[in-house]
Amino acid sequence: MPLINPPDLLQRLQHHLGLLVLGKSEQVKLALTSLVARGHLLLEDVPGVGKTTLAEGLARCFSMSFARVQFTADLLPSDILGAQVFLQAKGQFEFRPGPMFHQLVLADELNRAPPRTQSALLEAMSQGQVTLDGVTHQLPAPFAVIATQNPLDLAGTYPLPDSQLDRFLLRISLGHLAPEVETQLLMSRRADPLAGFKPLADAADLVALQAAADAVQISKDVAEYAVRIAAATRAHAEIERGISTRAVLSLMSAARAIALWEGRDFVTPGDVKLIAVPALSHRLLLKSSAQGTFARDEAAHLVGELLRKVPAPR
Amino acid sequence: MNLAERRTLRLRLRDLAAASSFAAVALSGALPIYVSIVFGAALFLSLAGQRPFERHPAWSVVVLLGLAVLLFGLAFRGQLDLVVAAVAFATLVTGQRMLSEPTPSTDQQVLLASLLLMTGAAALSGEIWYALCLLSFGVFACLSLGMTVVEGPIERDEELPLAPVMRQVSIGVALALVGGVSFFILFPRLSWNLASRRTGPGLLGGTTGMTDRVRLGGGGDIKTSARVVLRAKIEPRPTAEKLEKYWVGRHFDTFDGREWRGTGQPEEPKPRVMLGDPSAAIIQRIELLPAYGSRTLVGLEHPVYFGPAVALTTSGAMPANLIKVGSEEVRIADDGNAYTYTAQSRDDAPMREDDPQVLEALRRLPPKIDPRVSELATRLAGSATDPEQIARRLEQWLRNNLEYTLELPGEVEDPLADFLFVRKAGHCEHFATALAVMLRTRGVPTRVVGGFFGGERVSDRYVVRAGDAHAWVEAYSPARGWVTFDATPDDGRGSRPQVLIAKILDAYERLEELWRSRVVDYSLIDQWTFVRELIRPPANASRQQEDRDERPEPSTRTPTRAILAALAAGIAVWVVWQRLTGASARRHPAADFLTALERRLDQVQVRLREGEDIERLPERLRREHHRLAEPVRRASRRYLEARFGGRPLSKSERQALLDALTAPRNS
Repeated sequence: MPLINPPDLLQRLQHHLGLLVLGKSEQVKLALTSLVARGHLLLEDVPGVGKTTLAEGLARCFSMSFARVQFTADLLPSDILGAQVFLQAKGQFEFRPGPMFHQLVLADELNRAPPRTQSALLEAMSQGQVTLDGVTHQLPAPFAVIATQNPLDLAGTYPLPDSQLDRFLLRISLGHLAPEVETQLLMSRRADPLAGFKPLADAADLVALQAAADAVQISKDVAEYAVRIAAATRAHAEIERGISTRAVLSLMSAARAIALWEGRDFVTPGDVKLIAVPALSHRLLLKSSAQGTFARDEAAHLVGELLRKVPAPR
Repeated sequence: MNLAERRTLRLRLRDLAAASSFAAVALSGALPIYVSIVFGAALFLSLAGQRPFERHPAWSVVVLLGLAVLLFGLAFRGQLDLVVAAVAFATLVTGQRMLSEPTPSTDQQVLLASLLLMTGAAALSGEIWYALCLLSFGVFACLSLGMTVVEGPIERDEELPLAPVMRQVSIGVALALVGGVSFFILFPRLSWNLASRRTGPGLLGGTTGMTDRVRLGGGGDIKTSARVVLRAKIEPRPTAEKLEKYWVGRHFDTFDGREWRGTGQPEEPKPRVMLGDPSAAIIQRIELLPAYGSRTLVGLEHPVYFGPAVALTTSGAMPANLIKVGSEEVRIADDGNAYTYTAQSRDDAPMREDDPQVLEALRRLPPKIDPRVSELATRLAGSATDPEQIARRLEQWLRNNLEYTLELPGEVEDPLADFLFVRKAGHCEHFATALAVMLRTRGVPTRVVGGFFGGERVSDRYVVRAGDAHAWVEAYSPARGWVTFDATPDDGRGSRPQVLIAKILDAYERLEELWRSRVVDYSLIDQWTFVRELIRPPANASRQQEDRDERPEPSTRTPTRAILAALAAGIAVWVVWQRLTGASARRHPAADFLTALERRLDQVQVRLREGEDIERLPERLRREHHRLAEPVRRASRRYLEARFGGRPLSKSERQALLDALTAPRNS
């Protein structure tokens, strides 16, 4: 395992990616955090704001193999996982791995695929392996999925069930660029921004970062704080169903990864606060029947409100 | 629990609170019966879920206004006490509100009206029952209000977990009660009850037959009543468990054929009354309890002196004057719930009467008397001429030949003849009357004495029960003065209470006494006494000293008890505070550093913004290029490490970090 300085490496990666995805340093930070926490990332946004660029940039940064799958209504599980193919020459079946067998997979417009395909993907995400015809194939490590969803265009989509949303560590949205950043982009952008994008680290560095995140300690007070937040979501009047224990676990692993940015080997309440909205808001089932962007904003708002209400240890 | 169940529960609790306050008023016995009936009906309907006024609010108000006019008309004309009228109206308002539309504001109106009832009841009665009603009103009203408050933020069809909510509300109620009691004990008491209209003798009423006349006829259950009417400490202390002595209350001198009465004239009130020579007398420290229900002083036979009396009134203990009425009785001049006084008696030296006119009056027979009475007396006296001897013979005959009974239904024309010749059975008053009248026919001056016979030891005192009430005769012998004769057979003397009932009543009396002395009559003086005894306990707090009722000499010992009590109170307050604040009990050592850090930041004009904490502050300061950005970052970082990273902070390091904030700019 390479010797790394996590905060330094993370800062450099953030800066590096910032050259590619302009004016989105916060989202870049969260995306990197998600990778370091071994999580999968859900990007929810309108098309054309750089979701694919960010995903591919992340893969390039770490010199990871990358595949993009455009999810459509007729996409089948075998299209992403791979299939047994009969080889005439050898006279036998052979497994042809699908795009899933890459280190970073971009599942574009995940909610356009039928539930069967979605769940095939989600199984791979949670298990880190794929089982086909009774044979289990290990996925490459490190492995991460970045899925995108268009929150506005809901016609002909299969919204992800809550249990499946739960598998994404963080949900972020990029949003439109600030006018001055957009101007800068128009003036500087060449044909393919990714063409000259050089890796900064390799997959081993990512594994090292992940190990460093695992070593981050959580004190009892901070754990209790997280539990209080979870309990508050469960007791809130406007929330139909609060977050699960798995969600609290996810919250804490994201908080561990965030702590690395400061070079700390322990989690502070501030880390939890920082990560709570992207880590929790997509897991809440609200009472109001709002959908799309509005529901997203409302959930984020509710989590923010809970963070203000639940007293942090001090 | 869903909306409908919640509502039912809330209304039940509210109705129970209202019922409690109504009970407090009703137990005072002052409320007109029709108001009670109306409220009872309203309560029944409300508990049954019927609310007829829900649809006709206007009509009910009209009816209520009519009743208000009626009640206050009665009060104005003096047929109803004003307070009672007000309480009656509050009762009706409570009932009307209970039957109206059950909104939270209606609940509050019901509870408010109930609170008024509670206040009114305090003016009408201060019994221990009032305390119980007050307690249950407090509990039910708090729970009901708690339900209303919980109701607020809950959606219509949301389920409410009742147990945790009720647990929290109950803890609150318990704390409030404890707080109320502490306030009561600790806060200097003012004599707040100016109305002073409390009924005296408790729920069971005054029970003795100690009236200014004794009417023959009828029976009664007084013999089985175990209520304690009198308690006495006797000095020198008798050894007997059962005292079996006569306690003299009052004398009756005139009999009209049906009833005995006294004809003496009251004298001027004075603090002490001397009836004879008090040397070598038996000293009694007597308490007349509220159950006594009379103001006549009682003393062991024969009382020679009644000492300074204290009346326990609603505004505290007051010295009371005594009035001597002829040679009949000594009574207390001022009204009170209970009295204490000293009596001195001599059983060895009978009293003498020298006035021939008085003696003549005591030979007077009723205007109509059955001739057989006189014949019987003559026959029984036989050859005896000495008044004492005659009396002894008559007494013996009555004891041996007539039956004791309490079952004497109906009124008869001539109770004395009926007793002697028809039924041949009667109770103590009959025996006493027969003996007295027959002796008078023989020219012996007699008088009937009303009082008690008995006395039973309870710890260091003797108690006398209502059932011990008795009547007997004193006959005048020129040689020996007044001599006591008791014609009642032995089984008719003393009380015959049932043991279990006696025990229950004893407990009730004790409770009631506690309530009176510790709550109703608890005054600033009592508080002061309590504190003084705590600080300076009596030098020798042994039994004998208490018995002698001497004022304890101020001791010079260190107030150990006071220090211990203060210590215990301090610890209790600290524990409660720790429990309430919770978090500070497990205060992390680094938290002190944070407090110091925040104070230091405040000194150097660095303020946290809304929603900002010490963890986020350095970032902002860095953006603002604040001169303290770096030391603040270090301090914040170090705090977080100490607090959440398990790297404790040494004192010197802590001081260095703090000092860096106030150090000169260039350092």
